Amino acid sequence: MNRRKSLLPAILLPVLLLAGQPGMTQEMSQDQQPIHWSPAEQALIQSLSLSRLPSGPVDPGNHLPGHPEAEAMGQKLFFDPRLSRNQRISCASCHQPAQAFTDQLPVAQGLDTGLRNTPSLSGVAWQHWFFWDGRKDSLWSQALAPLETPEEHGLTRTEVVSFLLQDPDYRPALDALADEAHKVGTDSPFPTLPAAMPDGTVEQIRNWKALDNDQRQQVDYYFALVGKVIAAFVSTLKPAHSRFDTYADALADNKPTDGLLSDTELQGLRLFIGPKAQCLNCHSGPLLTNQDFHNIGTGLPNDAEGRAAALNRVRFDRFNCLGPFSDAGPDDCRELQYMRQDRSHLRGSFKTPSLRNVSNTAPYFHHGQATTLEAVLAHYHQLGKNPDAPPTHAPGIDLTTTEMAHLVAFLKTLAADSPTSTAGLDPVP
Amino acid sequence: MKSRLLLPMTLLLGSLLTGCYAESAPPRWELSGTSEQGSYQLTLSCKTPPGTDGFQDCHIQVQDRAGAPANPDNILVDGGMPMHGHGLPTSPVATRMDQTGYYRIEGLRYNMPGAWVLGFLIQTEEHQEKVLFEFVI
Repeated sequence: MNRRKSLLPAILLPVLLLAGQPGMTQEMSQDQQPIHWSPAEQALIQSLSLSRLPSGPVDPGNHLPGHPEAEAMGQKLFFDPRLSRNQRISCASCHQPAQAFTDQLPVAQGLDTGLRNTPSLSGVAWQHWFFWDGRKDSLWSQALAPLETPEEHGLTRTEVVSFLLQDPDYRPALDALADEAHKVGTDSPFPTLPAAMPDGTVEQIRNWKALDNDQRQQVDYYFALVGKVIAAFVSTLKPAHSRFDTYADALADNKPTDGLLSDTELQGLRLFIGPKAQCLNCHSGPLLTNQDFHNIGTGLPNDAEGRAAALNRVRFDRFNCLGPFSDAGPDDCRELQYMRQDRSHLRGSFKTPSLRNVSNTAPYFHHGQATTLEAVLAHYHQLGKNPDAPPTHAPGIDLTTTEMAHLVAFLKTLAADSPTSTAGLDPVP
Repeated sequence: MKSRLLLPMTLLLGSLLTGCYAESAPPRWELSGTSEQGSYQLTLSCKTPPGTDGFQDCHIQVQDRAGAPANPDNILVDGGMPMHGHGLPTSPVATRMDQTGYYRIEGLRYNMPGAWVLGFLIQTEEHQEKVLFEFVI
């Protein structure tokens, strides 16, 4: 085992060392040149189009996406503030449809102030890892965490399940989605269990241990089912086509592209896919994220570990893809099985966010440190220029003020009129 | 002893990117290459060409200099995009199959189009050699 750890860099290091070859960031400004795309550039542009996104998200651990009753119930749960300690916080409190499913705040505000910035949910069901540090490996498992987080919904596991299985509307709907072995039926009332969960206050943990094994199994089963139902709804939030997608698709179909993007936006696109700005290193694919974790120097003294601190959490999560409540088979969980675990490399790394609707999802970075896209680019511009700063994964990127303006203009073309193609996102009564 | 090999390996690998290129014969996709000291011939066979839409199911066949099946102690897999400065998004592994000289590659995935390098470090108790493949998605 030690031998393996010590030898892996022998392969990987040279690969990474080649990244800094002279000339990669030495191009002259091409601001004034007309846009002509090479075949390779056209392929890169088309790889970013929303048309390349698979038609439906696939989560092997959740069989409910695409199930109409589950999606409808998930929508109701998503907007229900009763799923919180003070009866005023719902998923939609932070993931606001009118704000591209963000809250426009530096960090989330639930029952109390949270630690990190609220990501958009548009297209999230097509991603592999969840939360900025990827401590969840599925959307359904992610949906459970805020319910038990004191700063967010602030409930315990037993309170969530007791409330839903005592509610005259939720109980039959949940029971109908439960498998035969776990159905609670509708005859006898579900008991009010003491506030309990396996990872909470001393009293909550003590109460959890006081439950018998069958009770804990039943609570965990329905808790997981709640996450799957919410995820079924969130899986419907597919990004809507943007002006960039219209351009990329026209280019792919050899249709006229005149006027679809301005010259400034096209110059920004050329920078985006080119070696000077190096945006594509991380922001690739139809969601404009490589779904990987990188240290870009945004760690804070109270939140510096990032992905490195999440590795064991996701590996040993009872609600992960390989866990007892997942619908996945053992061969369906390859993202989890083969995830990168080199802790030292991942220290300070956070998930590459999608750039879909990015101009509508400020502020930016995991702690909301950058209030504008210009501030984001300024951060990358100064990376590597301070010899005393800790090393990062991001190369120093030298861009002129004009080039930054072009990039920002292009990034704005990734916004759609609506954050998703889903209709009818009002709260369900 | 092993750690003393790391530095020269690191320095040399950059000049050894001499793998073979993809043959367009879908649905099977194969690359062949020889380790830098010529001790091993390695053939990478995959059910599909590399893409960005999921895991690639592959196995490798390892032969010695004479073309006989080789049975090294261990094979490590790694790779990345030199032009973009990052590695693979996953940690693939090579596990021995029933037939001598064959290893299944599991957990291999790519996350963007472009030029990739995939490397195999073939280890025995006495020494180790590597084979690198270059290809474009």
